Amino acid sequence: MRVLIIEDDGLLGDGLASGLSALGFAVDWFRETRSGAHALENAPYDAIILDLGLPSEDGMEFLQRMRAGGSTTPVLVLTARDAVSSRIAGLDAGADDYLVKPVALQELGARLRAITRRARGRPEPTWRHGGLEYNPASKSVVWNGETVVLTSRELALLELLLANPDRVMSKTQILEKMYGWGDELESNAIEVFVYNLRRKIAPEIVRTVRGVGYALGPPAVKPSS
Amino acid sequence: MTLQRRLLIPLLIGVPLMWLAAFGYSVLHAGYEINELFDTQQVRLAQQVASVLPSANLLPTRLKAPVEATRGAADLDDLSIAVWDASGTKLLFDREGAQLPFVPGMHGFVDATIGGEVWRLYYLPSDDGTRVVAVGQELKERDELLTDLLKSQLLPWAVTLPLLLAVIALSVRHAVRPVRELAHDLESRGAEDLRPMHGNKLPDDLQPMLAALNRLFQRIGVALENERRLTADAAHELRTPLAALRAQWEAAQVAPSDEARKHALNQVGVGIERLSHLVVQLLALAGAESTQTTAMKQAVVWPNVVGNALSACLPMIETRGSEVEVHWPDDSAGAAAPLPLLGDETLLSTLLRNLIDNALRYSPIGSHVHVFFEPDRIVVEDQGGGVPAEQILRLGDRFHRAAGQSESGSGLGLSIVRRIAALHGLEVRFGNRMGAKEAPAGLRVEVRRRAGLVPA
Repeated sequence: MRVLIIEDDGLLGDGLASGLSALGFAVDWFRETRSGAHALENAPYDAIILDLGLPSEDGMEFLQRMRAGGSTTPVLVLTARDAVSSRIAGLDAGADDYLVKPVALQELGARLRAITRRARGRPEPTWRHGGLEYNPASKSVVWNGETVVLTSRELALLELLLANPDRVMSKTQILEKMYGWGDELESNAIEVFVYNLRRKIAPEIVRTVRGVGYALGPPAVKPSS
Repeated sequence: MTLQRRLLIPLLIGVPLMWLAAFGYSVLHAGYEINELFDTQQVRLAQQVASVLPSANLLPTRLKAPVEATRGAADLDDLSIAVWDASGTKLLFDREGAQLPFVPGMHGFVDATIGGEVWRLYYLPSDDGTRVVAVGQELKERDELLTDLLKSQLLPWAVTLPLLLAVIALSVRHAVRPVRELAHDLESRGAEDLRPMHGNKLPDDLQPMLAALNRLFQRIGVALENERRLTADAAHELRTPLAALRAQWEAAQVAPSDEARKHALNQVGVGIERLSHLVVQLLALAGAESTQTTAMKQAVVWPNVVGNALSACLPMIETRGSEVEVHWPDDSAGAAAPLPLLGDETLLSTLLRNLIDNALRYSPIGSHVHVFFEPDRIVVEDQGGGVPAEQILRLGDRFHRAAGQSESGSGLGLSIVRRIAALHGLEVRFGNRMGAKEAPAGLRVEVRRRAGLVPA
């Protein structure tokens, strides 16, 4: 899941970026809204963490402008403004969640998952696809009752496919979802992850669409032999 | 003791006492007056009798008693009379006069006991010496008259005194009522309620007190508001550093590599340092806010102040390889002393330390900060490239930090400077110091006496 952070405080931004990365999020961090807006136009973010007290343009203005422009990307406001009136104003301006600093990293992750789930119309915490169960919070994968151990990148790819069950995605789209701008890219990385998913779960879990990219395979259950 | 008691106790005790004293005086004086009156009557009667008595032979005669009816009304039959000839033979006497003793050669007043009663007697020999006239009166009669007289005076007082006391008590209570109501109003107020009191009903002599009270409310209100704002601001401003500290700490917990963990822990250290600095600055600001101007009467020795401020800045000077140059007025040229001031050197050291710290922090490594002491002002100049014009006005706002800053700071330093300056009747002006090519070369901060204030 790729997350955009707009936070002017260096220490906090750095902490959020490295903490959320370690939790399996792909993170891009900007210190003000102009560069943040630019990033939003150029990458497919699943959620935005937005600070309100920003130096040049206030986070509230950015949020209103963004919603007025038709963007539906879930926004989680993370701010020091704790007044009830500020919370109401933030939620009414189009925020999907409003958290007052300081916040626990794990909670922040959970809330990001919750708002993206709601945005996709999948409110239940566990995703099912045939005999596959995936819990985005615990990152646990169960195939026909047996736990499957995946690396964080493999998990990210599986989550991406499960989140978009009816879409065929190009390699570029997949890379954009899985990596922040600063992250190092391995060559033929996607092929390797697809290979591993097929090997660890089932060959039909990922469908290759020649000339386009990849899609989620049909719901399948391992034949009980 | 309440105002009401203060008034009532002296009045309720004093009025009866005064009355008692007045009454005592009446008793004494009336006795004296009555004695004088009756003595005069006795003398007159004796003289009249002596002058009208025929000097011829006079057979002993007993005078008739007056008619009963006239007696009670005047009650003055009590003067008894007796007339003797020179040998002591009674010539003329009334009923009681018969008992009066003959004293040869006596002339004037004498008190004597006759038949168990005390009498006042007046003896008057006639001019030719052939007769002696005596007029007597029982002293009891005089006392009765005195008692009657005093009784007639006592009665109205006995009736009016309680009334008078009641009127006094009521009017005192009434006069004190506005004060009691004011006290009740104050008593029933909540600690937060600092609205001005309305005193339309208060007497004029209490109005100044009420006005002073309202002014006090106002001052307390301002102080409370300051405090509240400081607390709210502090709570707000502590959130981000706390959030950063927490985020870095948790990032360290979940860090996938040693390198990442090291970085996060390092950042935790930076966060702790920033939080400590913020807390120290907040405490300094709270201290400056709560200081009263009246507590500072000491003549400021600026070299001490600079010494303290620079000692605190030394680590910063060393790590940045910068220099601070202090310029004093030229003594040999007979220049005046630098900014004479009464004040608190500790607070002023904090002021100067914050200014120098700021100047160092926002100037390039290895640059020079200049501090000028002049007779009417102190100027601190840095080489930090100045501040955009639209930002200059916001410098010194609490927690305001100029945009695009990489240096850590609490956003409180200049607020503290402003507050301490205000406490000393000084004002702080910020301006850009222009360098070559009309570009701002650095910030100039000027601390000078507020216009309209007389030098201390």
